[in-house]
Amino acid sequence: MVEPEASARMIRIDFNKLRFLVIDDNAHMRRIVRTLLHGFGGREVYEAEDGASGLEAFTNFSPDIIIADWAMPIFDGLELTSMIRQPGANANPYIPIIMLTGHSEKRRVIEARDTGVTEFLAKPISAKALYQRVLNVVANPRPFIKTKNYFGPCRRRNTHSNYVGPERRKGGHADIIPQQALIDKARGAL
Amino acid sequence: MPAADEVIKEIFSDHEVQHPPHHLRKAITTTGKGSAIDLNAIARAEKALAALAVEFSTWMNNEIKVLEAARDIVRNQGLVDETRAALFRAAHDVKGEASTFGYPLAGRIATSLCRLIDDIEAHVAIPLPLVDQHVDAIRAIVREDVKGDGDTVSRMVAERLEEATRQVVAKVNKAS
Repeated sequence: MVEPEASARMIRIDFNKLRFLVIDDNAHMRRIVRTLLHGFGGREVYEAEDGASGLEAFTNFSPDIIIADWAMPIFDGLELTSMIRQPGANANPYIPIIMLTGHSEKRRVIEARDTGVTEFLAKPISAKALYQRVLNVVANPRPFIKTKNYFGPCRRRNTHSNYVGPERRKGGHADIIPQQALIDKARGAL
Repeated sequence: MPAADEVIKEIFSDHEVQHPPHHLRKAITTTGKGSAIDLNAIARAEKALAALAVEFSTWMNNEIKVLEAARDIVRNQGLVDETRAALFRAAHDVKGEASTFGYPLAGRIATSLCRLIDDIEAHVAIPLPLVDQHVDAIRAIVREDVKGDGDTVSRMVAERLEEATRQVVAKVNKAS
């Protein structure tokens, strides 16, 4: 997570202009998240109590941001994320998904990231941590990467010159497949 | 200039980089100098959450009832995939919520219970007496209203349960 720093220009998020979908099988946690979002100024907060009804609400309400639990009956938050991150299969496979979960182990964080979760928020929840995650997905959206095995937000948050891990993407700029410029496409259509 | 709804795609030999339209820009305003974090918004949210705090003790008790019910079902029906998953979800909820509700020590014991259920391989039986000890300790902490980090005795109980879980997980997984 990129920690927002004091900056020359102060960014403010108008929560009133955002539509949230909170998916959690636990009614208490849904109430807490809704209370925090309302406290931030949010008005449109929809709720669903499991992955299946969450997917239905995602289709019906077209939310801007999903806040989902991991451990849920029927299908869990990761399965829900996989279903949403299907390019072409629904209206918005790019929707930011904030996973709010009691899982905090590193392997779980990596598993969530590799499924296409945008932000990971470990319980216990705090107002500041939730605000920061929302700020991050609104103000610092990451591009999406599509490979044979992955579709989701770019997993490279930082670039390190001394990175020593496996290089998953080998296609450098020399391998760019040229695309017709949009302006030329438009001219061609005339 | 790309259309407002157009996804810009850079196509490489083994991957695509897609830049979806930044629709959430509608919610951003930039003003003068200051912190990137809206401290007033956070203060408002914390105040709203504090107003809910009168409910937390009742909610914590509700969560423990769910945990006890899941434990009872395991006792009666045995530890199969479904009952094991329900017990884990109940323990996991306590782990995630207990600190928010003012009982971090109960959350710590619930974390140990989650490890006991999750770290032992699925086909291996979990020692139920140790499950009982975790559930009973969580119940006792809330019944005695042990807030914060608790007293010496309650902290010792938590440490002993964590140690027992570590030993059982290591022993059972090694044997299997």
